Order: sequence, then structure tokens, then C-alpha cells
Amino acid sequence: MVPSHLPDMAANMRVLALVTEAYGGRGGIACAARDVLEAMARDTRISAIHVLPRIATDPVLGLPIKIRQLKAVGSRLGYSLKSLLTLTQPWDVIFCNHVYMAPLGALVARFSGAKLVIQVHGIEVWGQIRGLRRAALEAADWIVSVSRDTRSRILNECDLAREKVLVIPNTVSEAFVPVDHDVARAKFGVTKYPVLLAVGRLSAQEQYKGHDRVIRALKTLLPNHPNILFLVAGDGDDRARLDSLATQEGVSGQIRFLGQVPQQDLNDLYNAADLFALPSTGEGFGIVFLEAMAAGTPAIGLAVAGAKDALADGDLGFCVSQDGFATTLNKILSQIKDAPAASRDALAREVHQRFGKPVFEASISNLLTRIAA
Amino acid sequence: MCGINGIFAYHASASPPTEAELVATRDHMYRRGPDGVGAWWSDDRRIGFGHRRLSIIDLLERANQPMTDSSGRYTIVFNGEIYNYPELRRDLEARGRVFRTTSDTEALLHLYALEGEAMVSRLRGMFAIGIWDRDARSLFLARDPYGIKPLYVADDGWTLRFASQVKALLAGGHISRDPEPAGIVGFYLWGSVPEPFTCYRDIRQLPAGHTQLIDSAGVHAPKRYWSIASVLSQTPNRPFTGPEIEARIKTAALDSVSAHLLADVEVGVFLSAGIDSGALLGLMRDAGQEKIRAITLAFSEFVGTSEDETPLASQVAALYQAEHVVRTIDEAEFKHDLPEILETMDQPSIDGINTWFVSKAAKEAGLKVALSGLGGDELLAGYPSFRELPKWVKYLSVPTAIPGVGALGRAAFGLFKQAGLSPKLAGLLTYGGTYPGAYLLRRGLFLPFELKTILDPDLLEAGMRRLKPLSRVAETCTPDPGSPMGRVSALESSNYMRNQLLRDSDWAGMAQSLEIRTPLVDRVLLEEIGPTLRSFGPGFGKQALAKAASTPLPEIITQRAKTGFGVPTGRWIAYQQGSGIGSKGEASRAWAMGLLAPEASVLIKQESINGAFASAGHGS
Repeated sequence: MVPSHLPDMAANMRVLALVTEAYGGRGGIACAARDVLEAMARDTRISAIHVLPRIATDPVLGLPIKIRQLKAVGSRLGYSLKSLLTLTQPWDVIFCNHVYMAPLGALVARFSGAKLVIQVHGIEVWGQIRGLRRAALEAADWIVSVSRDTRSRILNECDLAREKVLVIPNTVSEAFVPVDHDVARAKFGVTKYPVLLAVGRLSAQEQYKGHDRVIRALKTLLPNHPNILFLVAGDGDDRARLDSLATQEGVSGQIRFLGQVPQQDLNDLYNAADLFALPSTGEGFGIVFLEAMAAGTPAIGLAVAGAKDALADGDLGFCVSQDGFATTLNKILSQIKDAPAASRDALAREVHQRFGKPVFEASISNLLTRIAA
Repeated sequence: MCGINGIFAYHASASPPTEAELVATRDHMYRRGPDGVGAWWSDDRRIGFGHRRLSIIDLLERANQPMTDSSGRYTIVFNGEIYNYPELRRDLEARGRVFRTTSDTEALLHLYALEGEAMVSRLRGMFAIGIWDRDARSLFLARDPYGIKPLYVADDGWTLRFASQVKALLAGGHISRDPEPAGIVGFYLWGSVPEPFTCYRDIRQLPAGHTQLIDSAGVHAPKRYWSIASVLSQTPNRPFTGPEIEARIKTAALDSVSAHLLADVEVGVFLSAGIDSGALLGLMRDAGQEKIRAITLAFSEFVGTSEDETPLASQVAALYQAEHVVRTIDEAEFKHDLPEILETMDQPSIDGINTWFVSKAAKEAGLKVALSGLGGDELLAGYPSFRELPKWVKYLSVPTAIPGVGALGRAAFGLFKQAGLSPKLAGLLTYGGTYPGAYLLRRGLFLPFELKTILDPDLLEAGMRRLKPLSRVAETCTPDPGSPMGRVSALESSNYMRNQLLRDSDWAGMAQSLEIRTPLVDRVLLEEIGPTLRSFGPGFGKQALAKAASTPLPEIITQRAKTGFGVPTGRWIAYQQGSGIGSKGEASRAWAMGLLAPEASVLIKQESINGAFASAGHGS
């Protein structure tokens, strides 16, 4: 079916965004959806974006120009019906921010004759993809993957032309910048060296984040770094387990659980740390690595999955193997001890240069060019 | 003829490529180009090219690659030969372009500057090309119409890498070795890995007759500019008479051979006792080549049998006053060379051993270039398939359309296979009714329903799903060439010849630093002869080729039963694999099993590709 408005598509594209959450949503997926929608809205070829979310936890206060968010619909049936009701309007692009939305998106795209764009992140597409989800992914005109690893896994599971699966990494906010290291440390009451930091949910279902790997390493770091402190920002149902692990390992004095840290304090927290450490094996991308490094703080992660992208294969952060993580950590802490402030500034510059908003917007613009072609 | 490679970090988030990777990939291709070596980087080091040179046209250093034009805008790496280079040069000079060398490489730079990607339609030859446009910040890749030269591409979403060999890309150390089920299943179906797949998920062949553009927006889909089926589908105004066809073949074949002699080094020829290579030799003489050395393989096992090509080949060499080089190979040499053969075999193949040895003989004779008669059977209806396929389709199209008939045939195979019923016979009722199906039956190493006995079920399911063998074969016969001969020609040329014969010629020839040229695999030749295919049946075309030289081939050659370039590999493989191998087909199957799964009792899994075959290739 060819929509009657197609000839004007290149200059006047209308986007329907079927999203898990966007405005009023919390967490990385909602943030990533907002980044895409806002980059699209800034493009002159887009005339309108209607967003239909499943969830909007917080009140929606003000939306960027061209973007209209419909009321969230939690139930599957209700959401599906409301999506189909949007077919009363013409659409050029159906954007799904999650593979959960993909089958419905494929249906709407088919009926409306619009191009289908599906964003994929990480573990939601890491296993076997079968049935409607695979069919929807294979029907997509473009798939936007946040990392090379996720792209590779999608290509492994689906029969797709490789050129259709683009990598558009998550982007780091301009809010993350280097500030005075000592002032930031004072804010969080830390005075000694070194300070390790991890940021993320403490969920029993996300034990792959690797906090316990750092906790176990602390004991071996103590002889060389007796004043070491591990700050853990974030909360969840895994905290008690981590707490008791620290006690068991005899390093509870070296750990401070900060709970949920408000967004506005995150930049200072990153700046207070000497090293951001998240030896996770399950990151679709790992935006927290970028946030830390954009604040000038070196980061260490594992050369596993999407973390390789955020760490730029070791060019930006330390990208190490799981084996001997503790030994490597020990060496790195000695290396970075006397790093000058200029090196923090240089790191932040490089991170923004590679993953900042201009790069992200250029990628979305390229995507729109391909859609319009 | 050379080895080329490049790395382009096209995504802003990607790290710049490293010199170490560029050099590791390039130098893995040492055998492709021992005469010269080069590397080039853009000013911002986001893209680099590597090149290993086998000097054939303009032997001076000035023609080394990568080559940048005088404006500094365009830089090229190129593997292959452009046979119409003299005409192109005249045209380009008339349009004001000034040349610094006498190489065909420079002509490509000028042509791209003037005509962009449309340049490919002007080229006659074999080529794999990468051109960087500094101002547009774009990388242009192109591969010749038939796919004579390889061009493998690996794109991880941030960085694109390309090279002339799969194993060279892997040697760079930045590409996953995760297996590609479609490549593995394809190998067991056909005996070679069908393009665009390779045995590795992240490495693809740029399809023959395609171009591809990579710019800051990313990697664009490959774009087709030529296909064999398209040429054959063009309906001529009228049928051709026998004499007209003969005259056309004579003129076009001489023209192609003449074009393929363009070189600043001596050009030799592979000579068997068949029509194709003999005709080439006669046409080389007609084209005015004075010194001709013809290379023939001899095997002590064949002495006194009809498979011994030496006596007849000697007669042909004498007829055209060629210096005849006969090289005898025995089983001991095969066993000695086997590790090296496996190391240089870029992708698994059930063939190519013959080309390995004849190339080795040519190299020993001091040749850098040799003509091969490859392609004559595909172009001029020389294979038995030109008789068989139309018959099968004619008689089986109705029965195979009846639901359940195919399953019945396979069930009969299950019951009677112990009695020696051929799986291909059983497959007739499943596949024999259409051209793609019949072709799969004719060329298949294993048939799809046999694969479950040798491949892991998950691997098989994933591979078949992505490979889609029948629809992929059908694509190579689309648009419809319009005649049974045209259909079989398109199928043979676009599948067996492209994925098996041409790939084997490339790796086996290049392993000996020998450029193999194929005058019967030529776009201009096909465009001349293709329209006549509707007007003749099997046998006629080859006989016409035999008469193409001013001194025709004698009857003793033209009336001889077809054998091709034979090597007693069946016997030698039987020695490797144990007894019980009787036919050539069984030997091929045993060889294929041995390449990826040394333990024959175990189902082949995805990991197998990282086992025997791959490790043989990476040991150096």
C-alpha cells in the first residue's frame, strides 16, 4: 500500500512512536527514546511526532516542539487498540523503541504503508528470537541498534540485510562535564584515595552488573590501597545480598551504598570518583560508562557485549577480560593515581566528540535521509 | 592482479584503524603480490588502504598502489586487469586527462573522477576496486561482472573492512570468527561456499556485478549493475543460422583472447586435451603472440588410460608451435603439498587441487600470467547439464507438482538406500520439475534431505533459513533467459562457475603468485554470443569454438569424450579417508566431510568451522 502523501514525504514526515515509555518515564530505555524523538523533532524533514507510551510514571511537564505524547495505556489490548486507532491518520514512519512493540509496529506500518524503524538495546534481543518478534524485525525497514554487539546478535538470529541494521549508540548528555575534583569529593564526604564508583540498579535479576566482582576484588586491593572506598549508587532488591557479601569478604568498611542518587547530583558523584568500575557482562551499551568518562573520570569495564562500545574497545576506558579482573584493577589504580586534571578534561572532550549530541543527531539525520530515499 | 585491503572507520564513534591491523591483513596476502607493497592513510587516518602487488602492466614503481590522483582527491586500490585499458586511456586523454603512468590503475582513477560509479559499465576485465573520494568522504567498492576477482567485506556497524581474502581479514584480528550457518550449509549443498556468504557470519562477499558505497551515513546496500541472466534474457531480433553463429563465435573469441593478452610480461596457457584450452592456444597464435608456453599436468596413475591428457595435449601444442611444458604430479607430492593447500584455500572447496598444481607448474616455468579455458562449457553449452536439465524439467514438471510425490521418492530412498539407490535419483521427484530444483539436483554435493544426517539440526535449520537455496538459485536465472540453453548457461555461470571454479582459480592461482586469466569468462564475449544461445543446442557451440582459430583443432580433440583437467584426487583422498570410496562423487563428499569434521561419526556443528579447516588456515 502506498500512502497518498508519499511524494511529500522527504520534506514533511509524520512519525508515530510506539514506545514502552518516553516522557514521564524513568531509566535508560525511556531516556534513549527521548533522545531519538528529540533528534528527529529537530530535523526539518519531520513535521510531527505522536508518541504512544505504555507507561508514564512521572507527570509529563512540557514537550519539545513537534512532539505530542498521547495518554499512556498500560494494558496490552488497550494499547493495541489505541495503536490501530492511529491508522485514521497518515504516517510515514513507525518508530518502535523496543522489540516488545515490534509486532504491533509491523502491523501498523503494514496497514499505513509507513516505513518501520525498530530500536534494539540489549538483553531483550540476546536470546533466541522467534515467532512474531522475529517476523517483525525481519519486516523492518531499518533497525537501530545501540551497540555493535547487539547488532551482531540480531544479525545472527534474523534473516536481515546487514545494511538495514544501523548502530546508533546512546548519547551522553551535556550535563556530564568535569568539575573540581576536590569539591566534588567533599560533597560526598570522601577524602582518601582511591574511590571506586558504580552506578546502576541493584536488581537481583541484573546480577550480571558485576558489583560482586568488585567487592571480591577489594580484598586483594587492600594491601596496595588500604584507603580504598567503593561507592555504589542505586538501589534494589539485590542490595542485601551485596551487603552480606561485603561482610563475608571482610570489606564492609570499604563499601558505601548511597541508594538512589538524584539526577542533578550524578555529575558531582562521577567527579568525586577516581575510577568508575562496572565489570558487567550484560550491558546492551552501558551509558553510565559514558557519563562517568564525560565527567572526566576514567572507567573500567569488561570486553563483553555493549560495554566494548562505550569503552571504545579500550580507547576511552579500560576494556579488560573477566580473567584477572582484580589484578588489572590493581594495576590501573596505580597508573591513574597521579593523573593530571588535564587528562580528565581530555577524556571528557573525547567522549563528547564521539558520543555527544551532535554525533547522535547526525546519525538520526542520516537515518531520516535513508528513510526518505 | 594483487591483494588489496582497506579499513574505514566511517562511524564517528569508532576508533581510528591501526597500522598494525592494516599491515597484518595486507601481509597475509603476501602470495597474491610478492613484487611490491604499499599502504596509504587519509589525513585524518579514518581510512587506510593496503596493497600487495604482482606486477604485470607497467612494471615500474610509479605504478605501485595505493595510487592517488594528481589532485589528491581520489585514492585507489585495485586487484585485477582492465583489458580495454588502451581504449579507455585514449578516450580519457581526449577528454583532457593527463597520465603519469602506463598502468590500468591510473585509468580507473581518471574514469571514476569523470563518471563516478557509472564507470563500471565501461570496464572490460576482472576487478575488485576500492576508491576513496576525499571530498565526498566516501568509499566506493566494485567487483567485476562475473565475479572473477573476490572482494570480501566485513562491517561491524562502526568500521568497514575489506580484503581479497577471508583469511586475510581474520588475520587482522578485529573480526569475529563466529560461524555463518548459511555458508556452512551452502558448502555441503554445493561443494563451495555460495556468495554472498562465507563461513563467517561477519564476512560477506560483495556479489559479482555489484558496487557498494560507504559514507558518513554508513554502509549502503550493494547495487547490481550487470547480470548474466539479464544479458541472456535480451531477445534477439531473429534466430541465428549455424554459419552466423560460428562466425560470431570466431570473431568474438579471437577478440576476447586478444584483449586478454594485454601484459608487460609473458602470457602462457593451461593446456588440457579439451577443446577450450586448445582453442585458446590457437587463438593466441592468431592474435599474434609469438612465444607461447603451454602447461599440461601429467599423472603417473593415468599413464595408458583415457584420462592421460599428455599425448593429445602434446599434439595440440605442436599444431600451434607452442613450447609444451609437461609437469608430472604424483601422490607423494599431493600429500606433501596438502597442508599448504589447506592453508591457502581461502574458503572450503571440494575442488581446486588441479588448479593448484597447474599453477605451481606455471610458476616453476617462470610465468606470472596464464590463460585458462575455464568458462567455455558454461558459455557454449558444453556440460551434460545442458542436455539433462531441460529433459528433467520437461518430463517432471507435472509429477513433481503433485502433492506427496516428492515425499514418496524420499521415503523410497529411505527404504532402498542400503541397496545402493542414489539420493539424486530419490531427489528427482522432489526437485526435478523446475530449473532451480533440477540444477540443485545436478550440482548438489549433498541434497537438502541428506543434510540432516551430517549437520547439527540447529545449524541446518538456521543455515537453510538464511540460505534459501532454491530461491537464491532462481534469482540467478531471473530475468528468464528465454530458452533452455540460456537458463542452464545462466545457472552454471552464476553458481558453479562463480562460486566454485572462479574461487578455486583465484586462491589456487594466487597461492602460486600466478594470475589466471579467463578469456571465455568475459562480459563482451557474453554480450556477443549470448543472443545466439537460443539458436543452438548442446555440442554445437563447443564445436564452433574448436573451429575458431585459423587452424582448427583436429578431430581427435573435438570428438574426444569430455574429461576436463583431471587429477586422481579420488584415489588420493581415498587413501586419506580410508577405503570404500569408489566414485568421484563419493570422493568429493569424503573430502568435504574431512575439511570441516575430521571425525566422520559426529554431526557437524557451528564450531566445526573453527576446527580443522580454519586452523589450517591460521597456523602461519
